[in-house]
Amino acid sequence: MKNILSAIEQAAARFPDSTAVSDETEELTYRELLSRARRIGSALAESGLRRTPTAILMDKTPACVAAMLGVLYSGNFYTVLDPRMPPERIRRIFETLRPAALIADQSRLGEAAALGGVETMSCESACAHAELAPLLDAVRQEMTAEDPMYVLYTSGSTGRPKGAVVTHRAALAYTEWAADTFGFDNRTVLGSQTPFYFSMSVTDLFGALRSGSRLQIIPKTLFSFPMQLMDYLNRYAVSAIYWVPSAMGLVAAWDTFAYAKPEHLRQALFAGEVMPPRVLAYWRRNLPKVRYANLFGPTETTDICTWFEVPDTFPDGEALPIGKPCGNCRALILDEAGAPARRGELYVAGPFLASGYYNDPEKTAAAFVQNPLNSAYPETVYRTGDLVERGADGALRYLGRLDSQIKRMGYRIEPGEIEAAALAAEGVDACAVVFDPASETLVLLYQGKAKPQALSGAVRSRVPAYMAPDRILRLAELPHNANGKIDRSWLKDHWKEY
Amino acid sequence: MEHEENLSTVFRLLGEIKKDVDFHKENDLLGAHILESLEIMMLVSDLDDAFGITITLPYIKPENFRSAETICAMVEDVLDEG
Repeated sequence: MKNILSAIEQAAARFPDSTAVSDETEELTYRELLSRARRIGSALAESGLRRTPTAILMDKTPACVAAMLGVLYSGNFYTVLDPRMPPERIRRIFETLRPAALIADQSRLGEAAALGGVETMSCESACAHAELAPLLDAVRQEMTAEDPMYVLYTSGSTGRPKGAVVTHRAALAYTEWAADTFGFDNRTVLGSQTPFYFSMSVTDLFGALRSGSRLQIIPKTLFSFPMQLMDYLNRYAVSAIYWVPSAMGLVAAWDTFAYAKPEHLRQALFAGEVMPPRVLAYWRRNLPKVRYANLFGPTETTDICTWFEVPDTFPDGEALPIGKPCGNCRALILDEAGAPARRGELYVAGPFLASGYYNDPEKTAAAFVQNPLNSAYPETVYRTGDLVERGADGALRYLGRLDSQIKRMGYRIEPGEIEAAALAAEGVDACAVVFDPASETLVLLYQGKAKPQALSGAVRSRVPAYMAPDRILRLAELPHNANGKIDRSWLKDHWKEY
Repeated sequence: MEHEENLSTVFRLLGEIKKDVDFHKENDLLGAHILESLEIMMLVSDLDDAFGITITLPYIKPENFRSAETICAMVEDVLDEG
């Protein structure tokens, strides 16, 4: 198999009238989803463009899933832009991606037009297009497993987002492993929490759809209201979830299970940030029959590269390992000198690797490197920048980022991107962003004439909500270290003194 | 008079959580994504402290968090329950 569409078509052939994807307002069977996707694909393929980026500016809906598959049917690859991202963030991704086409919800055409310079069609009009089966078949013949499937943007250190390019081959390999390991099948209802521009959604979308499972999109607002969230999970008989720990933490913080439990839940998978031990202990205590697994990996390994299934005997309160490599991935741990070590930077090799960063050979060359332990034949390994340690049991433990990158609420945040946004505002002479993991506080400290309130608005207009600082502090002068650089490590421990 | 005081406290606490929002003008705090999960948790904790009450989970529902007025009405329901 060389194309993710083939895997989904196989599931659709077995379960044509089963629900493939639904939210509160719309439900598409496998037959309907693929029919819609093929019509969108036909509308796009008529342009003759192949292997070019197509941006999707749509809300997280079943229609958006059809648009993603439609782009693949057209022989192109997609990037999902969430309309709830700040316009500045969308614009920067748009400029970096330079898409050849754009699909938007009808109601978003105005926003799409503002991005300018690209052929734009509404999803609704693309769905009304006739299916051009011979054209789609011809397109499929031309496609290879090495074709890009999507570009997913992460935060970039210079304020410029980085787009990891994931091929059909990598997505097929990863989702096959995930579907097998977690036993997704036609009875599975996967409750989707993460946005479609986040790598965890690849498991939700393609792990579910290739297995004949039902992808149940959970409205974001329900993550503010745990009782309504439980009602929703029970109404749709959600049997598996793959959430960021902070979403599970919300349920624990309100002691939700004292009032209601997800009666159909059999698996709770999580990734994206460190799981607080008390949160996992709460879930395990209240839902002891559920299978729990900690998944770990960067966007550059499709979704994950290591995992740890929490055994019944795992002691509450203990920090969770990130486990062992999965699906023929290999983990190398190298020290600063590049020698194998028990503790050091994690390098990953194997079938889930992205092919690089879109339109960015420099960053690609820096992160996707020749295996330093073996120069005898070409093998690319990805430098994660994560500090890990191998335990006596062989399982890896995550110790933090080697650079200053932050993981917060499931998102990877580069302080440089927030600092770039602050420095672009009026009256900011210098600034630093630090994260205090103890209080989970993202702090922006700055020098200049800007008022904190005005600066907050300026930063929020340029970065997504999850990157918005919790505290903004104005300093007479930022502290510097011996090298003359802003002393971020000192600030991290002392910001409360301001 | 008591209601006015309660409402004023609610406005003050909301203003402390989101300084750049005019809560007198906002009638759809959820639809406008002004209050999301973390803000709601912080607000409830602040309301508990300010009014000496315990807002339990059954009160944490969308209709109670649409505006300062509905938040105030929720607080008064909890106060009435004693």
